[in-house]
Parts: sequence; C-alpha cells; structure tokens
Amino acid sequence: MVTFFDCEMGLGPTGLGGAAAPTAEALLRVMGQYDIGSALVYDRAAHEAGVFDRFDFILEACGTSHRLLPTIPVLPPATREQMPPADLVAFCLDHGIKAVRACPTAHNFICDRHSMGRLCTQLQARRMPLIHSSIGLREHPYKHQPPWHDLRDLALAFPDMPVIVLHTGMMQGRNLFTLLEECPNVMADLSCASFQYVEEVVAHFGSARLVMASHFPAEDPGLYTTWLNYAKVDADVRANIAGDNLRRLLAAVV
Amino acid sequence: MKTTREYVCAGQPLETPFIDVHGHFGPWPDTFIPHTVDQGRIIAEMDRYGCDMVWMSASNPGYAGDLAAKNDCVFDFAAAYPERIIPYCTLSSHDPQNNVKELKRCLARGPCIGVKMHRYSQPSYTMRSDFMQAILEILAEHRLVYLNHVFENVIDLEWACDKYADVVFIAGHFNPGINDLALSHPNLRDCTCAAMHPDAIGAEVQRLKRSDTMLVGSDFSQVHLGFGLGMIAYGNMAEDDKRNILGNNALRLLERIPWSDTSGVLAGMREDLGIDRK
Ligand SMILES: [Zn+2]
Repeated sequence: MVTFFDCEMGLGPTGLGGAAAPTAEALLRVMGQYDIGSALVYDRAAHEAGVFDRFDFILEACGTSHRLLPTIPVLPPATREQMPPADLVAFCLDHGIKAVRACPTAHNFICDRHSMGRLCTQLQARRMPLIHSSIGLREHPYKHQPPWHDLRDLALAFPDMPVIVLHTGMMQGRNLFTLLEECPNVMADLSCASFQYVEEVVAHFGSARLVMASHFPAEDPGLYTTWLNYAKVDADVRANIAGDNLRRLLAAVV
Repeated sequence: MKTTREYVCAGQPLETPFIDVHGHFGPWPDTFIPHTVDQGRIIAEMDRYGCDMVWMSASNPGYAGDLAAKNDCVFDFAAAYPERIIPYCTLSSHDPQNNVKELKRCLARGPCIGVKMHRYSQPSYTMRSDFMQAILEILAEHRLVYLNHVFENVIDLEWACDKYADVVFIAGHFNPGINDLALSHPNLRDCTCAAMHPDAIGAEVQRLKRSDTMLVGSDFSQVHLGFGLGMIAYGNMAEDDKRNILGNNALRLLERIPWSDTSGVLAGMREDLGIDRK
C-alpha cells in the first residue's frame, strides 16, 4: 500500500462553502481517510482573504503534528507587504518552513524573474522550492492554463531553484511537456489528468519530475491517490511520485 | 471479500462490477493525450482497475470533423472488444436532418448503448426540439440510453422523461439537482463524472439516502480511469452504495436492453452479481 506525501493541503476555514478542515485534527482525519502520511500545508483562510504577514495560525497548527509541514505565501517584494526577501527566507528556515507558495492568479501578480527576482535569488541560494499555483479561487481545473511564459522565464532564470507547478490545467500537456523538457528544475503535480500522463512523463523525463498534490479542500484527494495506485509504473517510481521526490527536495534545503 | 477502498489502496483490480458510463475515444485536437487511439493501452488500463466495461462516445463529440467517421472510430473499437467497449452513437445539433440516418446506421453496426450529445460549439437545443423527437422515439423503441453533457433546460428534460418512459436519460456530469429530479422520474440518472469536491458523492448518497440514481463516469480515455473510481472508493457511504454506483446500477440498465440477452456481454458479470432479475 502506498502512503502519500501531499504537496498541497489547505488547513483552516473556507469562505467559499464546501469541504474544509478547520483544525489540524480535522485535517489529520482527512489524511487518514486517503492514506496521506504527511503534507505541505497552507493557511486556507489566509489564502482566500489575502493575509500575507501573519503566520501564527499555520505554524501553531503544524506544531501539533510532525505530519504537517507549514508553507507560507509569497508576493513580489516591491510591494513590501512582506518582510524583505532575505529576512523572509531566514524566518522560514527558523520556523521549519521549507517551501513557499506563489499564487499569481489568486493574489493577482505576475510571477516572473522581474517581479520575483529578489526573492528567488534568496530561495535559490537555499535550494528552497517555490510552489507555483495559478488556479483562481473558484476556477475549474479543466480549462485552466498556467502562465507558461512566466513560468519558463522564472525557471530558466533560477535554474537551481526547484519550481513545483501545481494546477497545470487538465488539458495542457503540450505546454507542460515543453516546460518539463526545457527546465530540469521544474516538477509538476498530477493535475494534468490525461490518459497515460504519468506513464509518459516517467518514460520521457524520469520519475523525479512528478509530485502528488491532493488540492484539498478544493478537490477530492481520491482523484489523485487512486490514479497513482493504478498507474502502470514500477514500485520505486510510484514511491518517488507518491512522496520520495518531495521528501528529497525538502531534505536538500540548506 | 475486500472493500472497494481496500482494492483501490492496494492498486488491485476490482472484482465487483465496474461499468464506466461516460467515456470517449478518438483523437483530440486541442490537447495532448498520449497514445489516445491505442486500443490496447486503453484495455490494459481497464484491466489494471478491474473495469469490466466502458460506454464510449466520440472525442470532441458532435463538433469536430466528419460525424460518421468519428462514430466509426468508436464502433470499430467496440467491434474489436465487444464485451469491454459499448459505443454510443454521437449526434449533433449541427446537422439535425441527418441524425436519424446516422443513428440507424450506428444501430445496424452492432450493440449500441444509445445516443450521446454534447453542448460545446453547436446550436442550442432542448429535449423538446423538433429534431430530437425522432431520435428519442428510436431510443424508446430499442429501450436505449440518452446521455447529454448537461441538460440545460430542466423543464424540457422532465417533459421528455415522462413522454419517453422507455428511454433512460443520463446527465453527463455530477449534478445533485438531477438526483432530486430522478426521485420522481424513474428513467433519469446522474453520472458522477467530475465530482471534484471532497467526498461530493458520499455526501450526495447521505443526502438522498439512496444510491440508485447515480452511475460512475470519468471521461476515460481522455482522462485516466481513476477520475471516476477515485471519487467513490474513499467516500463516506456503505459498500453496497459504492457497488451500486460503480456497476450494479449500470448493469440494471443493460439488462433491460433487448440486445443484452443475445450479445453475451453480461454473462461474466451476471455470475458475480446475482442481482434481482425480474
Ligand atoms: Zn465527456
């Protein structure tokens, strides 16, 4: 049986209706239901409401279980809504935050080398992954299109910064495969739902390029766990995608 | 016997009936689907999941290329795997005067589950549109299924459910409103396809206190087969409800179709199921 290390789970209340895990305890129950052993967790309410300078809720909640690893949102440093980049990255490392999240649609900014360069310089120096999710708060993943030019720009400009693309769009394989081919520092989740997607990425780019992200509470984690459980790949490949890739990435943060 | 969740967690083929009622087959112009027309890979994926059968319509259904050629692509696949792939005849509101001819041509090719129509990139229509009546009459005569991507006009859908009681109408994507209507229209079903929100289907079973109005669907083989099973396997509902949605409900629909007695497609599954055959 596969146990997953989930790259994206939202913790806290939502103002959008539907499922939510308001507390760490509730999130751990969801994780148990889907065999998710550990997860990178973000503050769902802060994500929706646009709170970028207070991290106490997520840090406290994740402090209650070693299975919950905190992440925080990042913005273009020019607005000064957050600490200066060097201070922000130092804060992360001091508080056990090993990955940050850029959500350019939900938070309305362009995420490229120009807007995010000063921050990405700091992230790259620490090999800290930038998790990129461009889906809108109420957007359906089927027709979603990430800002491919910006992503390529950023990944090429910071080749030693891991970029994890979440919400690639379900039908964006032609753009995603091009990005994976051009940028070895880019990894992607399983939201490109195409038939044979997992098998094909593994065949052409190896098993180190994919991570599992459940997208809870926006989506049903079973969508992704089921797929990976049945994918036609070897056991070590399945283990890499289910969690070992992410584990290695976080262990490499310096 | 293991539970559905246990099979899924172990990545083992389900051993209970698994019939996906919302599939597609063929090339896609606007997206990259690896090996999209590789029949062997599609059947192999079904085997890994223990999926007995997929009811399939054309890719880009009703809004791309030559409709008859798109249908032949699906019917050829079904002819190669007659117990695994059951074709829909895909029709379109682009060419209403030729739909009857195309439906009759498809029915003459062999077992056909019914008609599938989409909404994208074609003139709007409802179940009361003039051109629809001849189609529904033929489906009623053969006791077949009518699957639509989404029924936009619910009043006309209810009218058609009453008028064509021998047709089973299926809404192509998860919609609790359809389940509400199905309580008063015994020939209406909702397909679970794209029930994206966490445990949406489990919550729906709890709300309805029944599971006989839903049928699993996934848009396979445009997307992977887990896109249907995954939303059900972990759900907060009884094992019998999961099995209803995953296969038993579809099996009951198949059993009422005259060709199912002679084609042999149900032989294996009937053994496992032991369902009440009135
Ligand atoms: Zn479809």
